[in-house]
Amino acid sequence: MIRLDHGSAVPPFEQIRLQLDGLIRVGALPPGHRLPPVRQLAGDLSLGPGAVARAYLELEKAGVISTSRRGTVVRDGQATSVGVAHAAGDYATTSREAGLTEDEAVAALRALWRSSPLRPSAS
Amino acid sequence: MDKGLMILSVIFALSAVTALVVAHRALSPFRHTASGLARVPQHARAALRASALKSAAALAVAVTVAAGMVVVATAASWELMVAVLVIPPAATATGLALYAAIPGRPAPARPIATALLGPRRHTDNAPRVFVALCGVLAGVLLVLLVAAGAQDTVFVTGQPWGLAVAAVATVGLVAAGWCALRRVTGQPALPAEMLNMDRTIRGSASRLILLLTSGALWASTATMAIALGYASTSWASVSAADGSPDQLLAAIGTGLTVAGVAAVIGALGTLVAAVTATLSLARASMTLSRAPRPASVPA
Repeated sequence: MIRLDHGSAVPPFEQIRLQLDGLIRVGALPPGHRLPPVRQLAGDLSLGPGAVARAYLELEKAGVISTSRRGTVVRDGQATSVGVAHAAGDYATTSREAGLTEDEAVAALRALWRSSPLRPSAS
Repeated sequence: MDKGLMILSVIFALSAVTALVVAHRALSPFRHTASGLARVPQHARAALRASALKSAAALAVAVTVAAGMVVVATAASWELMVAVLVIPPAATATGLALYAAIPGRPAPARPIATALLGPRRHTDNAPRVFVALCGVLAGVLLVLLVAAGAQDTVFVTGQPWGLAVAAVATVGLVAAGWCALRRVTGQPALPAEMLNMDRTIRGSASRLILLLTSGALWASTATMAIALGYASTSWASVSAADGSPDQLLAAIGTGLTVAGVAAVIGALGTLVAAVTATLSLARASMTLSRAPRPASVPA
């Protein structure tokens, strides 16, 4: 499911692009998954079709999705952050068990993100 | 009692029971719509009201067009067979075309909008068996029309143009039904927390469209089967007069007539179900309009 905040400073097409990209990266939308047609998604989100079309176009340019006559589908090999999704799930569970709210958990993660130094990946 | 009459009575009884079971099963979503929505938010009320109004408008237009065509048929001295063959698909196609032409209700304005990330299909909200039944009935009807047109049509009807008009009306009905289903599918979804409500409303509308379509197809198929059955029996009689009775033709005639009688019961069952479904949907909408409105949207 996708959520769109009409009061956000982030443009609607960017909100859609970011969420779709994130869901595809963590494997929530698997390769071959068909996305809704532009008009359907725009109607459900109370948007003009242009915003959804632009989000799809950006994702297509990035090679995340592909569009053909059969519709828009997620391309192979895009789920690059499945491990992150598992870790995020564990983090959300632990935060709930500790009695943290969603905002508090996100704030804690953000603080941790900014304070921890970037470690080189072991390759 | 005559043996043929006994067989016909048994078929009548079985068909009536089948029609009742079909109508009962087809109506279950409407009963749930009417009984399970005691306290629902405004978005759902508006969606249900819009769906009920559109369904009622489609049915009203279909009935009005049918009444108008009966007047025309009487004035123009149409044969009864031609009138019963043409009027149900033509009137229902007009009603469903109106349903498809009315624009969908826009999605409710809300600060946080949600949407599912999968395409909606036309057959998601309606039983596939029902969709297939409409396709089969339309196919059978067109085959019967072509078969009748290819033979000496004097045995079938004195107004052969009626067969061509019926074929056009059948194709138009299938197209209008498909467009109406597309309209139901294209309707913006209710918010994610009302997903079940959204499915119920779409399901009710889709079933109503299929009930109307199949009802009209049953009626025309029944008429055509009985007319062809009668014609086949007549051909067999003519052959018998020549001294070589055609047993196969007579059997085909009897089979078609019996199938036509069974289809009449199917037509009555589905048309009654369609009317009852519309009334049920409208009643649910009125009940919700009068009910006290909840203070907040339930999660």
